[in-house]
Amino acid sequence: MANVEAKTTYLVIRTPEKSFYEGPVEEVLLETPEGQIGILPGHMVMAAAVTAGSMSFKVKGKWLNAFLSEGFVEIDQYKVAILADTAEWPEEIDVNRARRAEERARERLQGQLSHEEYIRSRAALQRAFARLKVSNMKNG
Amino acid sequence: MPKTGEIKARMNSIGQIQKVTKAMKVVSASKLKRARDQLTEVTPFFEDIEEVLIEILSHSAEIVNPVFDKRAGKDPEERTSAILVMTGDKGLSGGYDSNVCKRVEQLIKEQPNGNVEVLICGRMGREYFRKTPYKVDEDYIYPLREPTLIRAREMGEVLWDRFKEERYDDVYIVYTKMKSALSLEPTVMKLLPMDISDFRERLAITEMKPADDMMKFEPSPEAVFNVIIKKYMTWVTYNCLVQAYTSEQSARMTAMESATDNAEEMLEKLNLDYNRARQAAITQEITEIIGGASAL
Repeated sequence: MANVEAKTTYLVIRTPEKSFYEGPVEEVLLETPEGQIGILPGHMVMAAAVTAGSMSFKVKGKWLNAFLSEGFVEIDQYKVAILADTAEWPEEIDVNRARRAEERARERLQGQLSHEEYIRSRAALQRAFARLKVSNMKNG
Repeated sequence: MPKTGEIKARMNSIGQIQKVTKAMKVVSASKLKRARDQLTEVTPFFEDIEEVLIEILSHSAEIVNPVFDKRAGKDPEERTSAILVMTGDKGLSGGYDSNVCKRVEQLIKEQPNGNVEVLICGRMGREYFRKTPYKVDEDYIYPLREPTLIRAREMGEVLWDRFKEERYDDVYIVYTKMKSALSLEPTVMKLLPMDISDFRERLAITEMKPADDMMKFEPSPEAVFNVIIKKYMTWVTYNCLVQAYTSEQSARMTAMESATDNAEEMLEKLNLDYNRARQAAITQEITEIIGGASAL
């Protein structure tokens, strides 16, 4: 079957708290610091950082959306392995908590912050935004 | 020969204690189940990260990062080590807490100079080290129960920041590893500076990948590696927390189980004593009556 182009790649999404998703997919879209990237089967060997945000992947012609927090992805010809702090389906997202986190991050960004604190608050704000965005996307 | 009333009173109190230990055993059994679920998720994840890390390291040329900074130039007398100890929040878990603390003391003695700062997670460890002369960071207060990723991130970040500031030159974590349900082992893990050969040893990787299938890094090896390192700190801490918490529950369950069994054994023995004492009392009474009757 060497001459047949693989139609799927194997996606693994793992977090320390659970194994989020595992299975063959046709395409993966991810947010990286450089912008969104799309991964098709047979992608070159690569490692990339993943920023907090939405991600989606196509299973049997259907797109599924999810929220991912910071992590990284390792890609080779046969698989896409994503390791992140948390991964959530749109319906799992706690919208009220995300709103509160957004407010908190905004408040903190108003004050005087050290460089590290600034980065942390920005990241928290970004996470909250992404969560709110993904929570509006319905799967299926 | 003790009086029957005395034995009865003792049996009562042992029975009460047995009820408590039995209840505690049930409680920790259910907590252990939950903790174990957490552990079965984190263990393969943790192996994955190390694997990916190794793959990335072996696919890329020398990566210069502060995590590998061994500070070789520093005077050995001026080095400071930090030890993060993970102990339970409650007692009655057999030798669990003291085993970890003893391992820490041994580690402190292994350090070339006495410059060690102890950071503690869990109340039992705090109480133990209060009585020792070692320097303890009193502001570093974290519980062990129900580990969360957020707490692990905070705990890890403190260590990482202080390492970068060169307040610490070596950072260790001492926790109890759950090798199996019956074998809990106090384990020392070197967190910082990181040593690539350590990973290789742990994962039993001997040969290097051929250099021709180089990996591409997006945006750059350094950027990717920086993200991974930050995550790695959090995830290692989380892994240790979950291991320690599961071990604590397991240790408590075992301790309470044997306490319950001991109480059972004691009750049986006391019951025999009680019957004997009662019989002796009756026999004595009868002897007295017969003695009295024959005297008449």
